[in-house]
Amino acid sequence: MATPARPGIDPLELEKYRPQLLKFAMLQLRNATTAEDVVQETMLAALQSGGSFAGQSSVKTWLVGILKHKIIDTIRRQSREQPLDLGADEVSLEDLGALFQDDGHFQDQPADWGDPEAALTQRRFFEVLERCMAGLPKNTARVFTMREVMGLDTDEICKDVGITPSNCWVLLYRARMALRGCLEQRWFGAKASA
Amino acid sequence: MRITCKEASRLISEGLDRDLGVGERAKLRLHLALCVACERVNKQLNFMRRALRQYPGPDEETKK
Repeated sequence: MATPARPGIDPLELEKYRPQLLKFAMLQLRNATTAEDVVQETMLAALQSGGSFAGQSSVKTWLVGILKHKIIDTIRRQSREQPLDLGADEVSLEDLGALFQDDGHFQDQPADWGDPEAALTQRRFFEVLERCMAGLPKNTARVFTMREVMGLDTDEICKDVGITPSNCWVLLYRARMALRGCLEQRWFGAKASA
Repeated sequence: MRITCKEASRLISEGLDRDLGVGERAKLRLHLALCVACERVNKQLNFMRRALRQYPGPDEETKK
């Protein structure tokens, strides 16, 4: 295999990203030891394959790409050993009722977010997004990040964590509505009323 | 044919995870055409998907 002619990866350069990678891993694994393990594995893999980093993406994007694979491997391994233990409340549509009136209308009218695209260039927005995701229940967060951050199909996720598709859809629906409300409150609400 | 916002929001979400049936799509489209709230939610959930695909976000503008 041809290795692109570029300088090797500097271990110190990689270390800069460790805190961010840890946060990323924690969001999905919700366990400090496991999160540290996958980040460590990611760092090692990055150092060993320094030559395969083509330099087209930023170092961070590259590291996150490796980390995602490590996290998925870990989730698969864990699920084989111990299937996801879904709390009934995580797959019920019951308390979503709080979002709606008895006649099915919204309790609180969703706000106009204006043109939200600009948020995507702001580091602060992603910090708020992260805090909102951290507020999701553990299993919900795991399934939701597999779907939306990793981009896996629901079929794949169902198989990996051992839940039915319909449970999966409900879980994702709950996660989206919770995150929508959180972003509206902590980011877009503040902007809209300004 | 009429669905509530509660049902519509669920279809919006499920539409991001599976192919909706013809009937489901028609009901949802009709509802979105008439309901400002759900049309907002529809746009917002689609925006959230784009944002999450970009998570953890930009490198620059690092934390102070």
